[in-house]
Amino acid sequence: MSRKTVREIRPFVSVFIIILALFSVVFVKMEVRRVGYSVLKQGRMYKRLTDKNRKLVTKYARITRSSRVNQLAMTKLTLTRAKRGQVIQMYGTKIALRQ
Amino acid sequence: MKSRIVLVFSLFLIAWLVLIGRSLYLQVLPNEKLGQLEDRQFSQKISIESHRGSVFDRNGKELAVTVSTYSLFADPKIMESPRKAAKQLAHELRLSYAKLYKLVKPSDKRFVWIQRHLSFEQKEKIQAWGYRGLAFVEESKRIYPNEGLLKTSLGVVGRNGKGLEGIELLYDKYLKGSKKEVRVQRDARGRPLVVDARHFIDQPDGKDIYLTIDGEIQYFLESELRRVVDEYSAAGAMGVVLDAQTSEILSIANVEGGIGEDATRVQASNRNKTVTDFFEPGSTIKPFIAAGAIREGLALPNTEYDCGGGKLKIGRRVIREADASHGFDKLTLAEIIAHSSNVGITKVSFQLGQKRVRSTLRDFGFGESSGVDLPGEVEGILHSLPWKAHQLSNISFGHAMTSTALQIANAYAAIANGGLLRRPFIVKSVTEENWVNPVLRNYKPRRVLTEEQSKMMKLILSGVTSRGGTGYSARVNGYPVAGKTGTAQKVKTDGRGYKKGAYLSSFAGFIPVNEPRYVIYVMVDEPQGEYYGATVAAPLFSSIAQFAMRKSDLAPVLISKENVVKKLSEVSPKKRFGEGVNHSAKGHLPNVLGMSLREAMHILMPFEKKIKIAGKGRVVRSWPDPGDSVEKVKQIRLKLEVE
Repeated sequence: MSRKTVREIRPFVSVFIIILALFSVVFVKMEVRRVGYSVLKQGRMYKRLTDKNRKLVTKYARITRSSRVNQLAMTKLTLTRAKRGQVIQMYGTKIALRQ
Repeated sequence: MKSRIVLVFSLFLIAWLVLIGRSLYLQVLPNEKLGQLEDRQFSQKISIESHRGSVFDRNGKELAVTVSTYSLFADPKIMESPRKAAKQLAHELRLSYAKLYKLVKPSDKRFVWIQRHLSFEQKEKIQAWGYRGLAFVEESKRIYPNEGLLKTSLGVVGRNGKGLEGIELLYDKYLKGSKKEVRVQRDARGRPLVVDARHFIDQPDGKDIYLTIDGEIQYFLESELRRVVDEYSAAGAMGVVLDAQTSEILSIANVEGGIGEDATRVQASNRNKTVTDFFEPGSTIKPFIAAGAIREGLALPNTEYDCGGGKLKIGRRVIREADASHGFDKLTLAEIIAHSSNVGITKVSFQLGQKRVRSTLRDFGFGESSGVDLPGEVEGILHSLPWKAHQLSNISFGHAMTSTALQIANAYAAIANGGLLRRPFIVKSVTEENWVNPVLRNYKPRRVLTEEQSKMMKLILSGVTSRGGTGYSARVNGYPVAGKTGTAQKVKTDGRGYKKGAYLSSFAGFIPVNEPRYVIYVMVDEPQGEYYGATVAAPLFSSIAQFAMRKSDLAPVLISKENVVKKLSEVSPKKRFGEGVNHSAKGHLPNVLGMSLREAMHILMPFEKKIKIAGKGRVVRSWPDPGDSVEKVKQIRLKLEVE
């Protein structure tokens, strides 16, 4: 490319660079907004899932509560409460019985 | 021409410069008024509500949890299609249409509650209908998943989310969290624009609290107290289980008799009586008088005392044994405790003197607050000196003084752990860095007995549960138990003196004696029929101690035939599998006859069939029969019978 051509297209290149810079600024600003909405959505989802987790944990605690387990053991599995003399420990570090 | 061009250019230039200057002035230079305007127009304040922290037991099981709920309200002034909305709401919320229409029909009101604490799904559904004039407020709801478990200690939370009683009140500042407000930019539709994700992740939620409570022991204690109250038609019962070495509260409960019959009682049952109510402890105090004599070097477990045939005259009063048939002449200090001799312990207290009796009881924590992290604790009464002779005698067997259930349990823990009086506590940790329970921060355990003296006391208290001792029924097979029974007359609530025929039956002790793990105190208020500590409270202690030991990893110390159940591998193969059936043949039912339910289930589970069980004990019959194919059967039925 000759010097003359370069000199001729220089103003167009400058204008192009300025326009490109302006477009870039607009693009970046839009991207910030878009990411902002996305974060907001994710934040809401996070909160919703945290709440759901909390509810499930509560539900789990409810269905595994001692009174219910005890009742199920006695009614569904026909188990009875341990009687006197039924203290058995077959594990542990200080076991006195042969295993 | 050129000058004109220059002039026009200059005018434009000046105009542009003025515009640029003005915009710089507006945009760059600080301006309070404009700043406020901008804030109002382009920014929004988002409030992030905090969740109240959860409360867990020592094993991480939830005792109190807060969940988000959504409360629906209406603005009748701007409500659109009220009839249609009321109809849809009535169907969704299962409320009456007439009632709902009355709430949402056009009026000058700007706010009416429709329904509070709705689920997220319900909120989404109602929002999707898109009625103008219906909106939601996010609220929190406190849930206690174990229903009434530990309710007297946990307390309650008010509608505004503030702790009102118990741990909820005392630890409110940790649990409640804080409200967080975030300022964000908003768009033309009012939606937040640039949001920092950390705002949602770093929630200002309350801290979680981990208690020293063991949920399973707590449940067992509460159900056993309830059982005893029902069995003896008692006015109430209370119990405390402490970690013998650290005084951590593993379980603490009180139950009332006749709940539902009278409102005052129900209200009273919400009080944590183990710390808020004091009473005359009765004979459970005697070991501390004996401990005083031992630590002052006045007596040893085998030192003999003359018990005067079961009577002792003090001025005009005569001290007698609780059981008129107990006319002891001479008893050692250990026997005085084992037989719970009033005369004997009076002799010991006279030998010790009122000053030393009082200081001993003070050292063991009586007459002063234990400092536990539960609200409403009372100190109990230990009168100042001088005492009259009969007063000293009464105090030596637990009358003319009062204490709380927790004080008694903690004093026994001092004997059990080798002589250190520690401060009982219920909150183990808070999810905060370097958190130390405030009640333990500057507390130094107090030495009340030497190791040697503590061993002597353990020996003496073991005698109570030996054959012939008053606490024989407190035994737990496999583990040595130390403790003391108590049967105290109940003080009248109106007027002076004691209520006729009303007793407080109690037992305090620890298990196992050689390596104390649990300190347990139980008291039954006004049991009907039987009322001695030996017959009412000692078996209750035994039952709770047995459960606690089953949960612990300590193997039985005292091994007898009764407390050893043969392992599956030790049951004879003939009994275990029967004869002639190949129990491992693929697709065929193994012989589970003679097995316990647990053993049978273990073997049958891999078949992935529904198992129906009838009866209890060991398996006596199975359908299909052992050895038959199980491929086509839908369920396996087992019949169990007790051997």
